[in-house]
This record gives sequence, C-alpha cells and structure tokens, in this order.
Amino acid sequence: MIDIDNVTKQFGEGAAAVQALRRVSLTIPEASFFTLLGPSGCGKTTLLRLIAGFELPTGGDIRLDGQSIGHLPPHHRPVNTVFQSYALFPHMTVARNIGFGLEMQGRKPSDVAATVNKMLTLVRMEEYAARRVDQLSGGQQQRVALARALAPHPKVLLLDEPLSALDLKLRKQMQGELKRLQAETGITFVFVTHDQGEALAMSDQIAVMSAGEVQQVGSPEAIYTRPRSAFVADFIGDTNIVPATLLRYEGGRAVIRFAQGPELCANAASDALAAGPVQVALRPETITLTDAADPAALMCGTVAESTYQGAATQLTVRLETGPEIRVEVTDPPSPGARVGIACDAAMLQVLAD
Amino acid sequence: MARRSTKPRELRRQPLFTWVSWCVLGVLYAPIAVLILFSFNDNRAVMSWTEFSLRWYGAALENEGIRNAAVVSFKVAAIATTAATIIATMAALATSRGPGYPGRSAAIALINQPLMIPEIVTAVATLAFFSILRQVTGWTGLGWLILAHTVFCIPFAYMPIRARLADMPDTFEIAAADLYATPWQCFRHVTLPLLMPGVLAGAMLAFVVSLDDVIITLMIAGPGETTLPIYILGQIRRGVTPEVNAVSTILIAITVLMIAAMFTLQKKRP
Amino acid sequence: MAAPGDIPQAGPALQRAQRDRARRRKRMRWGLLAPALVVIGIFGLAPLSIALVYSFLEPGTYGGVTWAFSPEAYVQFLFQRDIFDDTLGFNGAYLRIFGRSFGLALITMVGTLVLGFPVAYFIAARPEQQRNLWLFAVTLPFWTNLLIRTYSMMLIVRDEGFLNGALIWAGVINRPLSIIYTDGAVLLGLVYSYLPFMILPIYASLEKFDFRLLEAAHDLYASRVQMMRHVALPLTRPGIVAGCALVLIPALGAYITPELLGGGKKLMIGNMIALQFGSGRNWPFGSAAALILMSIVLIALLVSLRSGAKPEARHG
Repeated sequence: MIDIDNVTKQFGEGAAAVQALRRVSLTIPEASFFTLLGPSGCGKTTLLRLIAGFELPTGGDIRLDGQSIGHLPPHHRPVNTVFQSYALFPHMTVARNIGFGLEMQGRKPSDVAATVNKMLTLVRMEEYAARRVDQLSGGQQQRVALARALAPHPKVLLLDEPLSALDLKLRKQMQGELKRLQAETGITFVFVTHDQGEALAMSDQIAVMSAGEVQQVGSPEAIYTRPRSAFVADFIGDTNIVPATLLRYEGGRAVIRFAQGPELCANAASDALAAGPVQVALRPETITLTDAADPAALMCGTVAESTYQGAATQLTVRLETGPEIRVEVTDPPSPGARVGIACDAAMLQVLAD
Repeated sequence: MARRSTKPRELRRQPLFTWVSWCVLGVLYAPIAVLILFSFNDNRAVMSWTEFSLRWYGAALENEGIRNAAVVSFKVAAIATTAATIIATMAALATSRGPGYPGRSAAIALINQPLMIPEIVTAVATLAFFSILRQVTGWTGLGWLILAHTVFCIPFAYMPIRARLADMPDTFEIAAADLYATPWQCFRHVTLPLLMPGVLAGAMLAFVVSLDDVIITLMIAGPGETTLPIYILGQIRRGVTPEVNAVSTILIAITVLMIAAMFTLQKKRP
Repeated sequence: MAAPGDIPQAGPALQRAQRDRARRRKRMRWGLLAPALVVIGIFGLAPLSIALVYSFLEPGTYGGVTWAFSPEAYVQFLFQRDIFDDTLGFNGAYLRIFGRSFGLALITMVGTLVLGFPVAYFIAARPEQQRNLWLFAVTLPFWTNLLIRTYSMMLIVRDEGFLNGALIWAGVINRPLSIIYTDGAVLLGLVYSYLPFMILPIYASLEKFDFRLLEAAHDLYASRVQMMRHVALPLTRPGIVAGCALVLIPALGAYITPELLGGGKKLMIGNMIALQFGSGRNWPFGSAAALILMSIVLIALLVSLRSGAKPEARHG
C-alpha cells in the first residue's frame, strides 16, 4: 500500500516558483491497478517521479507499507519504472537489460539467469534473449521494458504513459497484456496516462488530476457515472453540463428541476450545496428523445445538427433556454424537428463544482 | 498540372560552385599526394622520378635521430592524451548533465581558452612561465612538455565527448538508478559504455593534435626532447633530405587512420 | 484547496535528504570540474599573466629577463632610441610587420571565403549520403600536420618544384618562375592551410538551409546569381562570420607558413615574436608583442560573437 500524504512539489524559487503538486493525498491499495489520469501538465508524471525517487518532494511524505520512503534515493526503493521512451540500454542485449536490476542488487549469476528466463516467458519474448534492443520493434521493446522492471519483483511498478508510442491496434493488445501481468504478479501497478479510454479499460481505481491537485478518486464506473466536478465530467468521456435548480435534499439525493418537467431525485456529488442554480452532468448516451409535449420531458429544443457515427447518430439539440446539448440515438429525427429531452433520474449527477 | 522545366534538384546546383569544389579538393590533396608519391622515389634529387623504392623508409627507420624523435613524440602524445581525455571526460560530465548552474558558462569558456588564443602567444607565454618554474623547482625533463601538451589537448578531447553527452538522453541513467544501480555502478555500467565512442573520438583528436604540434613544442622542448615535427622542421630548414618525405608520409597515415576512426565513431548515434 | 506557496513541513529525514542531494550534486560537479579548471587555470592563464609581467621588465643579456621595471618594450614598439643621445625617433618597422600580417591575414580571409563558400554550398546541396564523405574529404587535410602540409606546398612551388616543372614541360614558360619566398607564396600557403576553417562553419549553417527557399525565389523570377545574393548568403551569415574569425585568428599568428614559404625573410607577427625569444633575446619585447597580438585576436573574437556567429556558446 502506498500512502501519499500531503505531497507538495515546487520547482524553482521565489517569483519563478511553480507548484507542480499541491498537498496531494492518496492511498494506493495493495496489488491494485491504479491510474493517475489527467491532461498534460496536471502533475501526474511529477507524482510518479516522486514515488520513484527521481525527485524529492518539497513537503509531505510518501509511505510504502507504512514506512516512509519519500527521502530515499531511487536505488534504495523497491519500486521500478517502465519509461515512456522505454530507456532500454542500447549497449546491452535483451537478456542483460532484463537482468540489470538483479545484477545491481548483487544476486548470484545463476539466480539472475533463472529470473531472466522466467521474465522472458512472462512477456513471451523467449527467442529474443540474445538480440540487441535496437533490433526490436516498438511493441517488443515495450515488453522488454516491462520485463526489466518486473524482474527484481518490486513492490510497486510505475508506468509512465508506456503505451503512447504504440499504434492503436498494438495499444489495445498491450492493455490486455498489462492487466494480465498485473493479475499474475500481484504487484501494485501505478499507471500514468492522459487517455481516459485507456484508464477506464484497465484500472481498478483512477485518480483524476488537474493543475497539481487530485480532483477525484474512485473506480472507473464511479468516475464515469458519478463525476464530482465539471472538470472530471468533461475530461472523462462526452458530457453535457446543463443548468438546473436544486430544490432540496431528500434521503441523500438531490431534488432538482430543469427548465420544465417534473421534480427529479438525482445523484449529488455533494450533500452540502445551497438550494438554487446548480450544474448537472448528463451523458449523451443516457438521453432519450420524446415528444416535446411529453410531460416526462425535462427540457425541449430543436435538432440543429446530425452526425452519422455508425452504431449511433450524434445529434446537437439547441435547447429553448439557449445552450446546446449532444444526444446519441439510434433512430434520429431529421434536423429542425422539435424534440423533448428525457432521462432516467439515476443517470443524472449534480456536480459539486 | 503544368510542370516547371527546372526541377528543385537542378535548382540547387550552381555549376560554377561544383567546378570550384572539385578544383579546391584537387588543390587540397595535390601537394600531399606529390609528397607521398615522392617518398617512394628511389632518386635523391627529390623532383625527378626514377623508380619505386622503399629505400627512404628504410633509411628513416635506421636514422637514430628520427627514432629518438618518434619515441619522444609518442611518449608525449600518449601521456598527454590519456591525461587530457580523463580530465575532459570529467569536465564534460560536469558541464552537460543536470540543470544549469552559476559558473557553468565561465567553466566552459576556461576549458576552451587554449583554442581562443593564437598558438604562438600560448607558446611564448608558456615558455616564460616554465622558465620560472624550471628555475624555482630545479626540475627538468619531458614532464614540462607533456604538461604543455595536456593543456592544449583538453579542449580538443572535450569537444566530441560533450557533443556525445548532449545527444545522450539522461533517461538511461535514471533507469539505471531505478534498477538499484548506485551512482558509481550507474556510471560504470551505463554512462561510460554509452559515452565511450565520444571518449575514444576525443582521445584520437587529442593524440593527433599532440602528435602534430610544432610551435608550442618548438618553444618549450628542452635539449634531447625533439619530437618528430621538430625533427622534420630542422631537416626542412637545413635542406631537404628524402627521409623527411618518408617520415611525413608515416605521420600522415597515422593521422588519416585516427581521423577516419573518429568519424566512424561519431556517426554512431546513442 | 491549497493556496500557492502553502507548503507542508518536510519531515527531518526528507529535509536531510534534500540537503544531501543538493550538496552531493554540487560537490560532484565541482569535483569533476576541478582538474580541468586547475590545469587550464594554472598552465593556461598563469603564463599569460607572467607574459604581462615580463613585458614590463628589462631584457636579460642571454635571454630571459632582469627584474627591473621598464616600459621600454612598449616604447620600442613605435620608437627607436638613439644609441648616442638617447632621444626617441619614430620607428615604423614593427608597425609595418603588424600591418603586413594584417594585410596577409585579411587577404587570406577573403580568399578562403571566395573559395570556401562555393565548396560549403556544394557539399550542402549534395544528397545526404554523399555529404559525410565530402565533409570527411575536406576536413582530412586540416587534421594532417600543418608543418607537413606547408612542406608539401614547398615541394610544389619551389624553383625546381612540381609547378615549375609542369609549366616548363607544357612549354608555357622556359625559365622557372620564382614563387617561393614571396608574399604570394605565403598567401598561397595560408589559404591552403586555413581553407577548411572557412568551409566547416559555413557548411554547418547551410546544412540547416531549406533549399525549397530557392524554389520560392526561382518562382519569383530570381536568377541563379540573385538566388545566392538575396537568399543563400544572408541566411548563412552566422557561418560566414564564424568562418572569418576562425581563419583570421590563426592566420594573424601564423608562424610555420611565413617561416617556410616566406623563407624567414618576409616576417609576420608570429615569427617576430618567436625571434625575440630566440636569437633576438628580448623577452620583454616579445611578451609585449604577444600580448598585443592576443588583444587584437580577442577583440576580433568578441566582434564575431556579437555578430551572432556562435549561438552554441550561449547555451553553453
């Protein structure tokens, strides 16, 4: 288990100082696949480098299984990294690359050889042991980088956007591979990415980061269906953010009303919002279109644009109150048609900020 | 679509420039070629060709003066190169790794100082300095010459090593530290092997520069410390003997080999 | 939300690690630099200061110096002391040597530029695989011994040399031309020696040159000459400035070329300085001349840096 406790990282001094991380606190459970997700510059890679020990935090502490490691140099931490550029040593063979960590730990040559073989099998690269790394394809280099980082059997494996250099097909394949390796080894994986699809597909838990702060931590499903803030809702998938009025709380749920239609019991990211105008997140695929006169319609508008996307058609509906929302349907009305917007109340999420 | 009559490739070409280039290349190599050619000439009168012979190479090898000079030359070059390469490698590591720091550009300027001052100035100034040091310490011997060579070899060795380091991302070193390498192991197993082509290139450059030096050696060398170029200069001043052609050809061959090797090493990208 | 500047306290272990890391980095850095700085600082800079001191002393009878202050070395540069009545009369001899050296160095610079630019351009316009070979061919003579190259040039231009032989054989002349030991021979030798210094930096800036600009110029009805004049030349200015500095500096201080091809009669500054430390036995005057030469060169270097010739030096 990794405890990130109030970790702050500041680069530079005085007026030029930049805070890359601001009092970040997180708990990464043992043997889980944990993802740090966020746009570039949000501090996710900095956090990774702090866990690895390439940088020291300015304040706060990092604990691994209860023991403080935030001050240790990288070679004293039972943590290994898969780098974005792989950073395989070009002057060594595949086997020596994989055995490097064990060799540095002073293991017996016979142990090293045995573990290297096991790792080669694990990543299905047995026949490449004697190759030089520059003779490998991108996907193969990726596997070697994984094997090299796993060989010393670290407590934590850090992965810094390892799939970003691969093409789409290979990336999909490696996603499955990574899941499998995590399950087989039981090592805690901390995965950094800016790709929300990748994060949703692979993680046990996701921490969404922005501007050096953690916005929300939760399971992929929780992050997707119950975003806490407009940032998270917007960053994870396609979302409409629609104004509504909060009337009151009822049994932990928020009672809201849109421009028209009935009162609804929606999920709420916070139970401490003041009654009045609020923002509600509404996923395009949860919306159903009805007749504008339907009493169940929450709002109505006219179809402004229609884009065929294969499995579904994406519509842009201009609401009568002004804003536009996106809707995904299978049998679209023609542009210009007047429609009502309906939605299951369980799919509505009142945002905290 | 209508094609223009002049293709881009042809547009680049300046016929006059091509012509000049080939002429320049000819002029650059012609004198050396003549020198090499006549080093294999059997005739004592240098400019009339009689027949091919290795006679002057034999004479050069048997010449005591040339043999001594060769020994001095190689001794000085070998020691100065080793010292300069080690010093330059250390300096390159300190000036191209990690974030910038106050004093770095000043340090780099100091390291390159010997390149910025005309050789004759360095030569006479060093002569003046060493004459004092020789008097004060009472030491004589080859050490002074080696020291002077080391100084001007450092910037030459430094250039390719620094260039190599600049091209080498630091992720390899970070990865090594991540894989439990101590700073020393990291240097020994990762930095140094990756830097090696640069170090070798630097060493070769330093060796060539030391082996070819005339002016500084001329000023500083004491009696009995004649290097090959100084010996050659003496012979040329006295009137040409064909042995000089042979020795010169050997020196050229060494230089060409070293520089060719250096070029090959430098082309290998990390 | 944490406000900027709000930083939690670092624990004692972390504080120690932060301090240690910074200290170790600093110690490592200066430790690695120390040998280079000490060696060059002592054996590169101290000699110059000694030369400065020497230039204000009196010459010793058998070379070396006598430790007595005298500005004579600098006076001697422009004036001649009358042996009988100790009055100063203007003496232009040394000034003429400086002037000659400058003239020769400048003509060398122009000569290498006129020859070097076409070559650099030609190499840069080659297809990529051929460029390295050409570059190698051009730099190779530069690394071979300057002395040997000058000597080989002597073989060519001597009265009974290769050039005269060829001309007589071809029937162009019937008596050998005397080329060696003239200013022309020195100039030829200097251009020959320093041409690669001009080609390399110009090539370096042409290498990045986008030849499609020529297409654009051609499209706008520029002739070949106009394309060079208005497009290629201005864009390679930094390379040209660097090349000029790299040729001018060693040409000013040349020793071997005027010594061998000028026959020691046509003195340049370098020979004059060496002479003072040899048979001239006037170390103070030699030191003064060396320092004056160095100042001129450093000024030239600064001017070329100002012209943006070496962006490399800035990011250091």
